[in-house]
Amino acid sequence: MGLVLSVGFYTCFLFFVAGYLVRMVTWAQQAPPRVLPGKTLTLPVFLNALVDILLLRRLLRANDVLWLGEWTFHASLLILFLRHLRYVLEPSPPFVYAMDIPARVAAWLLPASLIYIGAMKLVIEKKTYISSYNFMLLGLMMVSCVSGLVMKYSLPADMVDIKHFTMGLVTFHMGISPESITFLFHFIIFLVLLVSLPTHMFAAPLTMIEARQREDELPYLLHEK
Amino acid sequence: MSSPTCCMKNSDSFTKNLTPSQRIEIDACTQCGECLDCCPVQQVTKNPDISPPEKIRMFREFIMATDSLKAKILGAKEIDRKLLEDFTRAVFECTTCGACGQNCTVGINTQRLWPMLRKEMVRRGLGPLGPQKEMPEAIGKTGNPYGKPAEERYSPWFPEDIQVVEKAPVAYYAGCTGAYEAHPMVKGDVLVLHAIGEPFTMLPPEEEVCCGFPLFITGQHDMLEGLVKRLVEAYQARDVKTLVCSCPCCVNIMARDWPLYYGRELPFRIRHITQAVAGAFAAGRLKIERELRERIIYHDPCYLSRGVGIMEEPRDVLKNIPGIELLEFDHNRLESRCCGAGGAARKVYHENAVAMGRLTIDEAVRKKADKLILSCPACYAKVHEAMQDHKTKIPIVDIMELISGLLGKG
Repeated sequence: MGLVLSVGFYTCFLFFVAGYLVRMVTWAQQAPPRVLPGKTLTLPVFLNALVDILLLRRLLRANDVLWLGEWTFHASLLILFLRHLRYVLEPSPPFVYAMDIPARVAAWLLPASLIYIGAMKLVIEKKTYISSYNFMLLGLMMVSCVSGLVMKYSLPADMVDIKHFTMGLVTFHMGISPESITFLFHFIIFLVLLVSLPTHMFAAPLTMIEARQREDELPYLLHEK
Repeated sequence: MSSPTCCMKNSDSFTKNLTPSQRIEIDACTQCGECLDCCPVQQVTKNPDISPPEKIRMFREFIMATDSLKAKILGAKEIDRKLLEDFTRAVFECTTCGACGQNCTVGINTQRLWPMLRKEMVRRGLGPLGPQKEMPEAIGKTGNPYGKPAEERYSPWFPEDIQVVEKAPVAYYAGCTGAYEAHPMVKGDVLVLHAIGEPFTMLPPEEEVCCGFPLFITGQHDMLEGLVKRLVEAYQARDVKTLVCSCPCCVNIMARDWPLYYGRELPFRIRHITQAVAGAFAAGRLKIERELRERIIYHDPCYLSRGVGIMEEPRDVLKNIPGIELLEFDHNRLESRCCGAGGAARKVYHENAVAMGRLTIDEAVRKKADKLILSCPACYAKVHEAMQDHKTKIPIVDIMELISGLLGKG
């Protein structure tokens, strides 16, 4: 089983990295002959864009009720991601330890925010456009959350075994897989999520920076600076 | 259409017309669907299959089939022609107003993206649609997309008592839609410019050809360089330093794209007419004595507000009318709602455009406005058309038509 999981992990990770590399090459392909010359990104514009990204400010402007769920989701996911780094870093850096309490809270907030988002879109706002892909991701995330919570509070897995296995993956020393079924399930869902991650994960922040720059320049297109 | 489409396969790359930023934008869409709430086409069609995120999802699928890792390893996949045709219809039904981009949760610049996706479909021989196809030939023959004779460009509306000079630092470009479809508007422009008192020049009717916007917006870019160079050189020969125009679409392409097609910075600056007129009011060169005790409502054209950031000057101009009460649409300035005339979609999806125009009329009437003020010839023509056979009526007036009338020279 350890070998199967390891091969699965490397395959999924390879697809994830190679997929994005190809995507980035596509982004950077030679531009058509007529494009506006690139503009210099100033620090104030960048900082403003950073706030847009970290606070999902554009979503807040468009739909403040949905924003509450989305921001909670993204923040919780980030905290849990950082906390999970303890499985692949040895020794674990201090910020990973510092995430212990926030991660305990985020572990509950994450599924709650997913339910909130789903309910908002389907029941409350009754959106006419529903992305089936997004809902598939939402479902996968929910399953991942629940399996994580079960592993934490109901059917605990052996943490030493898990760390041994995950450290083996990152150091290319394939080891025995932990015996916990819940862990296996959680890990397989993670692999599925890894190859299904949405394209906006890396692209949206770049677009938000460009948008902030464009908005700052608009008043000067037909006016003197 | 002169693009070589004969040998193009449906598996050819879809990203050739896109800038790197636009390629990133295609990936950046989160499919959240928030933009549907502000899309004017959605308001009148209620069809999510032609919504902004669905168009991006479809185009992303095309890219995945031809440029993804899988396509690189296993070879590009031939895309079903029906899917391509459905996408083409969706992207051409859009008014390209950019409201979706303004409300985009990740800031995609859709007002610039949609025309490039249209260009890609034109390259593949799937677009443009209907009467849009006739525009290049009409422009080639007559200089305007309507195929009207050049000698009728100015003659039906140009005030007889006004003379333009041969050379001047200021030039006025009437634009095809104004000159052929919105006479009161361009007449008002000329009267107000004359009232300012500064001499201005104009190109002869056969030289004032299309600015290129109708071709740009329908993805037919082949003639653009020639048109732009011809116009820029003609104005340069008249020692022009400021080119004034009232059509938001013309102003948009002049400011944003002319430098690219000209190959360098323009030898003159571009200004919207409301900038020139607001400046003249501020400098005391224009003054309205007559009082107008009316409630008026101003509609921001998409390509003027979101397109080039002109939002306060039209209001400044209107505030110079004594007695006026200026009302606002619920969606104004950067958030303005398209009147239906945008993106040359009105030529193909007439019913959508009329329905959108009627939403604008109805809101103006609901707010108890005495007049609906426009500042775009396409809006002017389409909203007038939308009012025909509509239960709600309101006087529709162009901003310079109104000002020129109050100056007492109309």
